[in-house]
Amino acid sequence: MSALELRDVVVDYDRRGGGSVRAVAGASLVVERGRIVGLVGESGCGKSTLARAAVGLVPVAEGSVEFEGTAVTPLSRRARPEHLVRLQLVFQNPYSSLNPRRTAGSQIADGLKGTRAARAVRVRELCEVVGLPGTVTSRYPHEFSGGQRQRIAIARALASSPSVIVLDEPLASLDASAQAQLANLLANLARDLEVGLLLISHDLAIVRHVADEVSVMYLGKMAETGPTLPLWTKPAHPYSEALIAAVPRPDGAGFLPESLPGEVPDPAHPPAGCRFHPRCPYVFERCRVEEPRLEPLPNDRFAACWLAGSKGLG
Amino acid sequence: MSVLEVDSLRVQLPTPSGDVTIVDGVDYAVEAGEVLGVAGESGSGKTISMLALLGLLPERSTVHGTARFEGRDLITMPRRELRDIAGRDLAMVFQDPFTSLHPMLSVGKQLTEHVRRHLHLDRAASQRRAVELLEDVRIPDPEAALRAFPHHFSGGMRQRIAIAIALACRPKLLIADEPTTALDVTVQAGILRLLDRLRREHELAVILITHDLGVLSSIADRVSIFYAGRVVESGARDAVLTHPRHPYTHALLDALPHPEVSKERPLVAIGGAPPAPGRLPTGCAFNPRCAHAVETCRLEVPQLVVAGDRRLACPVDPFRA
Ligand SMILES: Nc1ncnc2c1ncn2[C@@H]1O[C@H](COP(=O)(O)OP(=O)(O)OP(=O)(O)O)[C@@H](O)[C@H]1O
Ligand SMILES: Nc1ncnc2c1ncn2[C@@H]1O[C@H](COP(=O)(O)OP(=O)(O)OP(=O)(O)O)[C@@H](O)[C@H]1O
Ligand SMILES: [Mg+2]
Ligand SMILES: [Mg+2]
Repeated sequence: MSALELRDVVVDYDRRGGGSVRAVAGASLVVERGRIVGLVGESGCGKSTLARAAVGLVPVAEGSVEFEGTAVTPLSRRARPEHLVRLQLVFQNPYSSLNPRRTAGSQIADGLKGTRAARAVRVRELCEVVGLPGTVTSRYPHEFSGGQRQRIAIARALASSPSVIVLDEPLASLDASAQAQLANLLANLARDLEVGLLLISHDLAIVRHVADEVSVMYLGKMAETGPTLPLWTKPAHPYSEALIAAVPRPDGAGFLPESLPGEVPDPAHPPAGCRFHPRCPYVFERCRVEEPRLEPLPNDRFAACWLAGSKGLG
Repeated sequence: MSVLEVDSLRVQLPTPSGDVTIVDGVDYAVEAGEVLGVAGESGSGKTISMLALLGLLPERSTVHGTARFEGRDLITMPRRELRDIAGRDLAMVFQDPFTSLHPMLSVGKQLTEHVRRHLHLDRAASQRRAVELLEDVRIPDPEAALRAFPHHFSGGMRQRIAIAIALACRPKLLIADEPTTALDVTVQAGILRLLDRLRREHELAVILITHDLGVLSSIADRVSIFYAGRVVESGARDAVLTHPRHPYTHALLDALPHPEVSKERPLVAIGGAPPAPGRLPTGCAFNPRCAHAVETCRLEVPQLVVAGDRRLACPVDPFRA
């Protein structure tokens, strides 16, 4: 049994003025305890939506979500079932997920049990774990910088001793040293506490460093999944290839990476055939008419591309 | 003349335990067509030092120093004049895209109102300009997007809409606070290319605050590195990034994950904790975390002075060529 398992998940949002948007169009994902799974992809491709579906914050139109063998069903947050306490989400925007009128300390303590004194001790420990001075507990969210708020949100998630944490962009707004610290923290959580982590991030260098496996998402679906290093060295999907090539390098050279050519797709009107075909440098006839499924490749890799099989991977 | 010239900027914010100095004597200038990159420790006062220019600090804050925008001091300028300039000639993209977008107004309303007020365009022309701006920041189906509300968009899309609003009135200076953190690298490349085009074609000056040293490296002409409310090193991009001389800058670059390094090896974060504002150590604020600190570092606050090809606030200068 996997800790967290999403199978062919579909999520629709209503669009203003009628109609709907299929933000996630059939995506699967497995997070085992003690593993770090990176989820990367274009802005707007459905990563946060998938994260919300994973913890039961948006209803799933098709497919299934299971946490430790039990179905995750969307419920109001107040009525969150007991077993889901061990499945935590750290939101993309730490400011909107923290209550502006409560101190950092009291919000971190939300998930804690025990005496007041014991909780206070644990709050200070958690602050230390995420690299915040223990003195911050009496301050309010607006008194923190962006990166500090992010760490408060993580400390709060850790308070309920979760077995899986879904982290939506936890590294954004941290400086390189704080990122390194947090990346090390995530690696330790996975290794020492056997926590399973789903790490959504645009910071590909960090994902590459900490994730055991990576899923690359494009327009609501997985384009490619597999163990991190092989995927990075030899991407099987042209979208992964473009993504990895666009990572700016801190070498002082003043080189501006390429953006993807072509129209940014609208999830309300996905292209026919392969979803990536209008922007793909390797497009050929079949791609325009027939959608490739996520097919297995050697070494536990999967890719949704007609050409992946002929790339000599593995 | 520089578009913006900031001199000895100091900011104090009120806290329950009294006023705390958050920005402590910061200088920088940015020229037309230039991109000044600002990086540094989280909590070092980058955002506060920019909000101070626009008069957007909490009440009872105090600001000292000058900030000349096209020759006129923003700090002492009457509020009304500042409001006129802010949003038109001097635009800001906020770190938290929620701050710049009104949750109850459609994107179209926010974008067209802004254009109409500052550029005096009629309804049809402002509508056209709005669509053009959303195309520039690569929002799919711009016409539908104009009818939608901020919560209908992903984090990165909101960030791009905020950029579109900031660019709407063709500002002379754009202060962009982490404008691409919520974006994937290909969309980020598109935004950086857009800024690069605007500075080439329209002489837009940009102050780009970012933690992504790769982003700095790809677009900034000069960079300033902040630590604990001060600039500790500044100079040309390639000099500072390829040959950092302040121990903090050095450690920051060392913390980056390196593709050749095995993932079994932890990343090298800087030891010790960043100082809390109001409780800075004496001397150089970095000294307790610095492997090169000597006696003077614990006694005197180092000034930012010219040191060869850059400005540096470190008397030890252990990485001098
Ligand atoms: N509440 C909503 N109502 C309608 N559409 C929505 C809503 N939330 C998200 N969407 C749409 O669903 C799609 C996916 O959004 P999502 O937030 O999951 O993207 P993301 O991959 O997390 O992007 P980012 O990297 O920018 O955070 C986008 O096209 C977005 O416009
Ligand atoms: N309203 C406030 N009242 C009191 N202190 C504040 C307030 N806003 C920010 N601070 C403090 O001022 C310092 C500087 O904050 P600022 O937001 O400028 O940091 P930053 O350099 O932009 O950091 P980041 O990179 O994390 O965004 C931080 O220590 C923060 O805790
Ligand atoms: Mg998101
Ligand atoms: Mg900031």
